Amino acid sequence: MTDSGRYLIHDHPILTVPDTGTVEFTWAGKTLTARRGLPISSALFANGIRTFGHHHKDGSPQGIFCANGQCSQCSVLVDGRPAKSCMVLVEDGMKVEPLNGLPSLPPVATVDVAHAASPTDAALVATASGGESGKAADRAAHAATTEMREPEHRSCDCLVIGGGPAGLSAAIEMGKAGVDVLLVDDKHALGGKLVLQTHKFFGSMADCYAGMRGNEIGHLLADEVKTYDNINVWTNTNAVAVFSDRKVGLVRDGKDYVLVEPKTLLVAAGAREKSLIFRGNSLPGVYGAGAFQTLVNRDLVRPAERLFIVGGGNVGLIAGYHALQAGIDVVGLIEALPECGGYKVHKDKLVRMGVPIYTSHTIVSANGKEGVESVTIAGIGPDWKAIPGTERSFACDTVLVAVGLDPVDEFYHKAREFGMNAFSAGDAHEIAEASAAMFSGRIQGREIARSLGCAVPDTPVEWAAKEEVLKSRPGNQGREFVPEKQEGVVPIFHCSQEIPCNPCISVCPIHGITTGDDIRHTPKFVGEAIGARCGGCGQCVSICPGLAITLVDYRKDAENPVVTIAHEFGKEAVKPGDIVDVLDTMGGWLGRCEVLKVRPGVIKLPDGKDEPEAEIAAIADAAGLSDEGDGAAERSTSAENSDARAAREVRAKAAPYLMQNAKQTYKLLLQAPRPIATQIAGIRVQKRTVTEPMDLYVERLTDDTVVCRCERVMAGEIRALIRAGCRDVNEIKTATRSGMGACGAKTCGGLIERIFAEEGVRREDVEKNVGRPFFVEIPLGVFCGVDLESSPGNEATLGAAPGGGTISTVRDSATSNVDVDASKGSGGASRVEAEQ
Amino acid sequence: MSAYDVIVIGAGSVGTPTAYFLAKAGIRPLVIDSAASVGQGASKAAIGGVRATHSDVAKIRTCLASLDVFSQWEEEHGDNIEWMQGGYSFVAYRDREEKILKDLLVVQKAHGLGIDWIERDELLGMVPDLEPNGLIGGTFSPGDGSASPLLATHGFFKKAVELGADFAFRETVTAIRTEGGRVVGVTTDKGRFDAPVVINATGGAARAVSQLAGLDVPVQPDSHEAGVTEPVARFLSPMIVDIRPDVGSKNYYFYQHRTGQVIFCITPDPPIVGEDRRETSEFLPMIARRMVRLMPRLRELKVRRTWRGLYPMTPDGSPIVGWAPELKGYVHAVGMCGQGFMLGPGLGQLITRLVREETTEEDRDVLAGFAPEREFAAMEALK
Repeated sequence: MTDSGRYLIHDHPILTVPDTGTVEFTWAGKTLTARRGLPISSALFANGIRTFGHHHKDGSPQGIFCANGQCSQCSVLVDGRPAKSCMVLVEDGMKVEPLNGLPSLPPVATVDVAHAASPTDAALVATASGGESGKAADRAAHAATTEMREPEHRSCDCLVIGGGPAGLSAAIEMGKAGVDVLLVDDKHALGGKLVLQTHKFFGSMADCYAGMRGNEIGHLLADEVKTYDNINVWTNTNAVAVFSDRKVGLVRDGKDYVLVEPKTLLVAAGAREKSLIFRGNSLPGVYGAGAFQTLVNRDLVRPAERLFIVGGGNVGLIAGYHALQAGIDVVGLIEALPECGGYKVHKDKLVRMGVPIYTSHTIVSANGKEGVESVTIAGIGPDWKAIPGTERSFACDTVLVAVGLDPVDEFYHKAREFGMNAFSAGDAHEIAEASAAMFSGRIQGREIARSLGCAVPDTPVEWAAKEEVLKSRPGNQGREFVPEKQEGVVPIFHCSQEIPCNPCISVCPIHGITTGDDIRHTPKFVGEAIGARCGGCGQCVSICPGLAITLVDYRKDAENPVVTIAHEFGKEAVKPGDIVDVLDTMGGWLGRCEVLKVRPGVIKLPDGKDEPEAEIAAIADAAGLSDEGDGAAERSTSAENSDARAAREVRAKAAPYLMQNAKQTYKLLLQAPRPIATQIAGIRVQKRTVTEPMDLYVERLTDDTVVCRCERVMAGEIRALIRAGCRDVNEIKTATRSGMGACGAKTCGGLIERIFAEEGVRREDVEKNVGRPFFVEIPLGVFCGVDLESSPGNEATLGAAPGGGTISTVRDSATSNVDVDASKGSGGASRVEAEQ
Repeated sequence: MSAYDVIVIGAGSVGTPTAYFLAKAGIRPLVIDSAASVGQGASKAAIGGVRATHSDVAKIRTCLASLDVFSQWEEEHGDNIEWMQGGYSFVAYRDREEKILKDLLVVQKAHGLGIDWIERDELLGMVPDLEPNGLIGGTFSPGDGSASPLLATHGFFKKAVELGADFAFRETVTAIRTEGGRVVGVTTDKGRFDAPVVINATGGAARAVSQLAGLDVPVQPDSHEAGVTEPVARFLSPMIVDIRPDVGSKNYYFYQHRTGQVIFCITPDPPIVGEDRRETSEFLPMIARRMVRLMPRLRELKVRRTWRGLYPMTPDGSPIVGWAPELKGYVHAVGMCGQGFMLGPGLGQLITRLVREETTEEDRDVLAGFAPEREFAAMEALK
């Protein structure tokens, strides 16, 4: 066994590793193997290759950045043709090479009829007009007859761009209403970013599948969409432009250009990650959380050995947890603010597993030559600048940048500008949690159906309220509630920050947990008040998305109670008899305890008699709806019944997933001394040595900081223009080419805004970038329906041209040009037009 | 209120180099534009071709001067405007186009232009990716070339500012003030400026701006769409122009820019009259079909971005440049018919001499061709 494929994940605590066999391909002449079904980028990562080429302008190393088909920085040569490695699946025998400098445009052999040099050529010509058969001749004939196709034109009631939580939820509502929907997504599978989320979701079980893992919710929604005959789903389809004639351009399977004229348009295209300006920010190994999760959770490769995370929002915190689950060391996480913006339970989870979180810190540089070798951070002073002398460097191979998201809303704005009946939902409308996106989608789905004249039930007034609640930022930070009584079994909630989440309530068989009148309040055990005792079933432990509930069981030995904690690192990670470091919520070390038992989690399903209605009422109260007048109350009541029904349906659908995923959340039973038992929130996963800083401050290796990655434009150039009086992003584009690269300003757009802000220019004084088609680069041949048989990325035909051979075609294009009547038009026969 | 020697309305392909040459000659100009920065109208929509191989003397001379400016700019100013002397090639696949081009060649050669007819095989040697079947030959003019309209216009702007020109962006001229048949200045939405000379260089808005001075110029914009691809290693040198008509379009043209990107544009038929610059769904399928037929290798070239720009057209396809006969001090520099970028530097020099009253004999020939008071009758063969 060679090293080949050594960064493949073979065992994952949550995900099942698919058994798809092995692919053999070459990279720069060397034979490598990878799991079948991986995109080339992940196949390269599986072999430890993270630098894919060098930029044509300055020779800077290039690698994965978006892993989402948007940025083009992962481009490689596949059988001699340039391709985005993150979008093309690796195949047996593929010859993959680094892309150094500009690629050559692949040649196309044409047969010159007048100069046919050989009998073969002559045969080709003959065959093209219907002669004998023969493989090459067939192909030539095929090429000649199906040489070009007009784009397909079609219409529909609603075109949905994006098959994530919002798009799918909207489609389901429209499915019910009988709307003729075309839903497109650029990935091969539906679910959007849900499919990358292996953690359990927050929210409530009744409304948004709380307790299910994101990928499970993705599957569930996708399955439901497929049950509606009136919903057409096109995966592997890019929406590329919205035109002023109210058509939307789609590219299906990388080859078919389709122009859709929808009556309504729903943009549910999600979000893109913001970037940061720091030295070394374009080194291979610096990328966003989305790319990271794609590599780890979708493709099951270990893209890093030592990861450093920038950003303490939910995205960064969760990515850290995913990294640990994939066996990646998380060296540290920095957050510029004095406190992480993400849910405290997410942060606590990381901290108590041994990941240090540095708040009020910023990244100074990512260091390395061909890729990231280390990162340098520094404390932030009151002036929001790095404090000299506080720099520390850590060895790492990957810097994950998770500093927020921006809506992908270009199509929505274009469509509105062009007078289309356009809607947006989910992150494309407003950045929030996926659970809120589902509500947003449902609401917009009904709204669209209504605008199309379909009979749809009134949208329950609570929906909007719920969406708002689910969007809410973390609220007050309270004290941990520790029951005084230390007997029997006591559930402890290491959950002291107000967030919209309550599945623990729903699974408690004795209805002993409450969040009071607002889903955002922290949960309390109120067994005694209702005359019930906790039986220690542990379902709350198993379902809690924050892994923040423990049980302390005093029944056998009150001085050394048994503490049950949740642990999602697989069955083998911790074994009975192991002595483990136990930590409190904040990661403080409490002592060492013996593991008594390791059990898979269990969730029994609620009997249906618990009260979703109560939850709804609580939410309505929280949103202030109960103060409304009689009319509103009436509507609310009628909606409530249908909503209660809907809630039961949601649960029924979630049930099999919940039962299954609980098993992946192991319950560790530890014996702990009484004084610390209620404080134990988890066990250390990562050794301290992993997170120690390097001895030396690593000197920066580059002085320039890249703003536009595609065109290698440095911050200094842009700053100089702004200081010279420039107040127009278009002028920056004109003078520096910033934003004129393959990605179309998707990354530098936000960074340029930041530089304007840093320079003290008010937002309203800056002329915005003029958006143009296309959203991603599309081969010319697609627009005229030419078969790009030998292009990488065209799976259906990839095998047709082994070794990347080019195709001979016979053409008589010169004579096939339409000869327009010369008298037509105003100019007469001699009139020819200007060009510039 | 500030006093300037000249006010230029419009900071585009013509107004900006004009300001540069005025400032260079010691004349203090103010350039006013309603956009937020330089070259944000038709200028940045230009694809960058620069040729002198026209068919009338006025354009030929003006563009020869422009070619000098573009080709020497980098050497002179150290400022890369992506100039590349790749030449132009008009290709012929039918007798009809062969005849048009060869007839024209006679006129062009008479003006001493470096342009020749290239037979099929030699042309294929020069542009090997052309569809060989049916190709008769084409013209080739090695002295023509291309530059970046974005960088060039910005370059003129920077140098003009260095030489003392003022630019007022996000400012709209609301009145052109006259006294006793002479222009004395302009009023804008933000203030008033005095100058004895006002130059209208406003492209698509030329007619409306002239009306502020009580004048009329027959300029009517129509729109063309253009696009740019990803960059690839060099495979193509000259600008390729195919003048055959097709359904929905007349000619189209493309070249590989110095950055390695292919830039292309098509002439819609019938023309799309008006100032609408929003993207349409028809453009790419139309031009992709024609380009890939002409050069099959282009089929895998990825389109990066498209846009639509205005061609401020005149009835005869020639610009309108010169003193307004009815109003002293008012200069027309309008109606570029889609060639403002290539005409701009040459016109800038010409207008500077006009304002300084230093025009030469040759200039007067050129100005006769562009005269505002001319009869707009004959249509130029190859505008």
